[in-house]
Amino acid sequence: MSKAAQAKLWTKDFTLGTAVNFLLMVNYYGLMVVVADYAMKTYDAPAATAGLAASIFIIGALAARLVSGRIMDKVGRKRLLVLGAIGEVAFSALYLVGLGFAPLFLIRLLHGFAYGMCSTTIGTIVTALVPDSRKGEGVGYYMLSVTLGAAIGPFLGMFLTQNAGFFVLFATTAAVAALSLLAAAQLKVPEAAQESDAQIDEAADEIAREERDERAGGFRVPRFNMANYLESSVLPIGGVCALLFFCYSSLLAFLTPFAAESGLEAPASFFFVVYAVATFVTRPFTGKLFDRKGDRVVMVPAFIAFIVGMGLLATVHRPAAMLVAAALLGFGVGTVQASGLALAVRIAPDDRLSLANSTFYILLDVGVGVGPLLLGLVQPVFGYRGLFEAMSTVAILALAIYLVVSRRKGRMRQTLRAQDES
Amino acid sequence: MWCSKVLVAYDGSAPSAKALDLAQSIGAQDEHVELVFVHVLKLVAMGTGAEGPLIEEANRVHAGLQQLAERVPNKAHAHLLKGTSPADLLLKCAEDEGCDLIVMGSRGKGGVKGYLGSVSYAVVQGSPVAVLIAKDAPDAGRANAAIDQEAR
Repeated sequence: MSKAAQAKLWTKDFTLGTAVNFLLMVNYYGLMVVVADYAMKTYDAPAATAGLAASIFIIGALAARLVSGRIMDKVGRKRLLVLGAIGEVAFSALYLVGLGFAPLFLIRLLHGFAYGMCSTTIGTIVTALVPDSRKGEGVGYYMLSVTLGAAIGPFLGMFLTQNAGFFVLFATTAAVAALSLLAAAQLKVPEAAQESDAQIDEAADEIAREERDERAGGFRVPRFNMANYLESSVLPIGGVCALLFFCYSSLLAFLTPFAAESGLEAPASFFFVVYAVATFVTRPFTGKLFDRKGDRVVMVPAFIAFIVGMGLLATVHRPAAMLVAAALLGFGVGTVQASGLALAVRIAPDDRLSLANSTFYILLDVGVGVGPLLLGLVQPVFGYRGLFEAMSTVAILALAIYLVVSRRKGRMRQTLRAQDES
Repeated sequence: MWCSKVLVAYDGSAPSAKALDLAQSIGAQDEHVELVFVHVLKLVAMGTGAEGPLIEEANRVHAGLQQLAERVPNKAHAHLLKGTSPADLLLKCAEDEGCDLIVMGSRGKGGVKGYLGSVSYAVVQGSPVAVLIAKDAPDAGRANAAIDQEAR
């Protein structure tokens, strides 16, 4: 047939770009699941601050994401990518030096910033590299690199830590970062087309601004308008999902020390593999169901799966039970994330789609970033099992809030109906 | 007239451009026929930072369809559907809008010439109303160019 005439997907640049993202994810997750444990064991840090040391990375990444979008076209995508990758290598190497607890915070924050810079840029680059006729396929493979990284990263982190110690882990993640820098340096990045779009947008904004000034008689008070950074219609559903991600952050930060305490280290290293597989496998089905039957049909089971999974995790003593919990949690969180985003982009007006997308992820990141700090404060009182039980309860609250937000006569439902009918 | 409200799915591919042409021809036969132009934004790149360009492109295509909707003599409007399963989104939209005909290309941007694409296949299977499948043709670039012109 016409397979030969199909545009080539796996060009050198696309392969390199996907590899860079995969390596970034491995570095990210490999460290994220282990850092709290590291802080507690090496510096005798209390759970709260140890948890924060893990999650402050995400705050850094969030800051970078907000900034990168704006400067990407001014600085040049490849330059930004390489800068971020250099940062990644530098900060990953600093873990090896063992500077102390306070410096660890700063390193985590800056490392997160470097990661954010890299991951935003590589995502844009790879999407631009994919030929139009194979866009869906290309992005699909790119997403696979995310899923693989999210499965292999934690496994690598926990496995190496248990069997070879923190130093070997840090050396490995630094090597991974170095590999990603190597790959990033060899990328040929298409910049031209996007620049002209950005320039057109800027010119349009400039004209609009001048018109407004003229109408105002040449006088303008500079105002910080929140609407330029957040899409408000998305806040209710985004808030609910953020709450669930707040609960999920307990896994990222505290699964490792919990597993160590309970003698479940070996199965724990597979926890995130099972988790990622569960997310990946259920996604096509929940996606179809959502598109066909709406949000309630998928969200409610997802919340329930999370509630049950957390409850199960709080009581595990055997490996099999732990992995069943992992599957339930993977299904739950994955579905809430995907369906929550679908709701968010449908609620928002069409001209605010990008903003709705970024607002949603900002909220999730805040949930995951802030979580470990607050949860760490609670952990000494309840212990890890008690913590997971508490998360199960908070998830029940999140489900209740979701039911209220999505009620028939509510604003969300009305907006969805209006959007469908427009 | 054998149809009154027609859903047309457009994804920028050559066959779907042909579908747009077909739908407009049907509309030209009877001005009372209502046209619904639809473009699907697939939510695939979630959280990776790759969504930006995809959203921009979808907005561009949607704007082009809206302008086309204003130009045709029939009553027409354009929708931007967002979700993970294009076939299900299309079917639900056709149902919500009360369309009695769906017009779409034989395959999208991927696919293999001569075979029915997976989305078209799923829509044909799942649709309670008639589905008209447009095939590739040498001059199919026409409608594409028209949409691109509108969007610029």
